Amino acid sequence: MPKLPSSTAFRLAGFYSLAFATVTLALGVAIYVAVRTELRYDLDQRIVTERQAVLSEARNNKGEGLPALIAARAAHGGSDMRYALIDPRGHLISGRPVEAVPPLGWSDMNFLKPTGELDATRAFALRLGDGHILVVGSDPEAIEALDEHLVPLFTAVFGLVVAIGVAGAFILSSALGRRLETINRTADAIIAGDLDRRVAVTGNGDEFDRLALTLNQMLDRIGGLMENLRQVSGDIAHDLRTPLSRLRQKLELAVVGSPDPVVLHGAVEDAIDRVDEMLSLFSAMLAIAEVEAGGDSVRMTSLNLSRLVMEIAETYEPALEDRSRSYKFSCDQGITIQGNRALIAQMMANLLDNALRHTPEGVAVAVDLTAHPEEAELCVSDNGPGIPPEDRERVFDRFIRLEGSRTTPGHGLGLSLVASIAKAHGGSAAIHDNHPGVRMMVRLPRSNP
Amino acid sequence: MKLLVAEDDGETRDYIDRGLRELGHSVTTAENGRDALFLAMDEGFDAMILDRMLPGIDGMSVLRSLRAADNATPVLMLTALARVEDRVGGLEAGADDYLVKPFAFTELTARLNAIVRRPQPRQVETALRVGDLEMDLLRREVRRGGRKVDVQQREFALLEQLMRNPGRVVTRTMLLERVWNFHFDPRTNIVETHMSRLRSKLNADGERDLIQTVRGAGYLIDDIA
Repeated sequence: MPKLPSSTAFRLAGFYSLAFATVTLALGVAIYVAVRTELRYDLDQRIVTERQAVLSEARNNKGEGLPALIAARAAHGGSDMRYALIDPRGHLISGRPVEAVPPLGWSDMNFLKPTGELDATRAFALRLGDGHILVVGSDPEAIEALDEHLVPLFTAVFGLVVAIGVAGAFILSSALGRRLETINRTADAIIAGDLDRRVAVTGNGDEFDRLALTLNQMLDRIGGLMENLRQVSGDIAHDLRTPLSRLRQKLELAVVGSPDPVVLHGAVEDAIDRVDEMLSLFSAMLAIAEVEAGGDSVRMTSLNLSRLVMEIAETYEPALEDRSRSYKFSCDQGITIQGNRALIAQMMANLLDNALRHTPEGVAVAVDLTAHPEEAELCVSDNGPGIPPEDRERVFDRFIRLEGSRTTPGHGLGLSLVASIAKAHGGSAAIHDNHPGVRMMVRLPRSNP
Repeated sequence: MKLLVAEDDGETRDYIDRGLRELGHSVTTAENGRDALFLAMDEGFDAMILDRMLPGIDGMSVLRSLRAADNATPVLMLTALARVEDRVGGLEAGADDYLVKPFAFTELTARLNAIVRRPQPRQVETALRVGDLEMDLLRREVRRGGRKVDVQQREFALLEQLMRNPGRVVTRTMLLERVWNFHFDPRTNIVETHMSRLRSKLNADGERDLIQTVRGAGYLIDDIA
C-alpha cells in the first residue's frame, strides 16, 4: 500500500480521473452559464413587454394617467412585477418605494418591502418625456432558485466524480500491483535459484494470464535447454571419457608390452581408429549445435526436395541390397522447400543409416515422400523389430542408444541431428509404429503449396 | 614437386613438412600470412598448402591477393571450419580445394595431387583412357576393350573421378564430395557399394580389375598389372 502513489497504474488512473473531473467541471459551468443567460433573457423580455404594456395603456387611457395605472397594477397581487414612478426630484409618485433611484437602463436594484426589508429586483429605468422616471422590475426568483439548487447539486456530483476517480485509482493500482507482484515474486524466486517456480495463472484469460502463460512457456523453454545442456555435458563426460580411458589403456599397454613392431603398429592403427570415432562424435555435436543456433549459419535457398530425396534414396539402394534389405521408394514430384541442401541431405542420410543399422537382414525399408497442401512428408520406414512405445520419443534425445543397440557402432546423435534439422526448417520429426517396425516421419513446410 | 606450406601451428607444420619430404617433395614453410604471400609471389611453386587462419594476413586475404595478382598457383586450403558455407567461401576466394582439419595424410596428398594435375581450362578433354578402358565424356559412354559397359549416372561420375587421376589415389571423402555432394561422412558405406557394382560391370567378362583399393585411403585406377 505505501508504494501505491508511485505506481504507474495509480498515476494513470489519477490522471484519468483528473481529466474526467475537469471535463465534468467544464460541462457544469457551461450548463450553468447557459441556463442562467437564458433565464435572465426571459426575465428581461418580460420586463420589456410589461413596460410597453404599461406605457401604451397609459396613452390610451388619458383620463386616469400613469400614476393611477401604476398604483392599480402595483396593488394587484399575485404578480411578481414591481413598479415605481419617480419624479425628477426623486420622490415616489406611485408604485412601491425603492431603496435608491436606479440608473437609467438595466440594473439590479432593490425595492423596499412594506416591512422595510430590501427586495432584490431586476429592473429597467426609463426617463419619460416629463422628466419622471418609470421603473419596471421583476423578481429574479428563477435565477436565485438556480443558484440555490443547481449549484449545490452540481457540487455534490462533482465531489462524487472526484471521489470515484480517486478510489478507482487506488483500486486499479493495487489490483495491477498485486498481479505484477506475483510475477515479480516468481522472478525473484527463480533468480534466487528456485528454477522450477512458475507464474500463477488465475484462469480468467485476461492479459495478465496471457503474460503469465507466455512467461511460463519461456521459462519452460529455457528450463528445457538447461536440462538438455546438463544432460549433454553428462553424456559428453561419459561418451568421451570412456573411449579416452580405453585409448589410454591400450596405448599404455602397447608401450610397456611386446616390443614387436607389428604389434605396436597394430596398436597405433587401432588408436587412430578410436580417435577418428571420437572426432566424428565431435563433428556430430558441432553440427547439432550449429543447426540449433540457427540464424546465419544455416543458409536457406529454394530447394527441389523431390529431386534431392530421390537422389539420396537411389544412392542408398546398392548398400541396402548388398545387406539383404528389400528396398523401395516413391517420391511425389515437384515439391520445393526453403532449405539448406547439405543439411537436408545429411538428415535423409542419417534416417537411412539408422534404418540400415538397427534392423536385421531381410527386412523391407521404404522411403516415401508425400506432398500435402502445406507441407512435405518424408517417411523412412522398416518392418523390423521396432522400438518399444516407452522408448520411442527418447530416440531424438542426444546420445540415446537404446538397450540392445549399445553394442552397435554409432554415437547416438544421428536422430538428434534429424530432429534439429527438421526444426531448423520449421518442420518436425516424429517416430511412429509401423506395425511392425519403425516409421520415422519428417514434416517440412513447402514453399509453394 | 616444389611446395609451399603456410601454417601457423608448429606441430601441424612439421607434420605436413616431414610427410611431404618423405614423399620426395621439396618443401618451403611459412608461419604467417605475410611470409606466405611474399614467398608465393616471389618463387614459383607447384602448389601451396594454405591455412585459413594465419597471424598477420589471414589465409583468405593471402589467397585473394595472390589471385588478384594473377598468380594461379594451385592452392589447397586447410581449415578447422567445417561448415559448408565456410567451404564455399574458400572456394569462391580462389582455392582449388578445401580440407578440414583434422585430416589423414593420405587425404592431403591425394587432394594435392589432384589439384596439381588438374588440366588447364583451355585443354577441354572429351575422352579419358586407362588401358583398355575408355570413357567418352560427350556421349557419356564407357567401353571396356570395345565392349560397351552400361553404367548408371553415379557410377559414371565415380569412374570419371578415378580416370581423371590415373595412378593416383582418390579418397573416399573426395568421392563423397564430388560424386554425391556429401560434405559429411554417412555411416553407410555408399562409396564401397557403388564401387563394387562399378567393378563388377567393368570386369563382367572376367577382365583384370583396373581399380585398386588403397586400404585406409581410397581408390586408384591404373593400367599396371
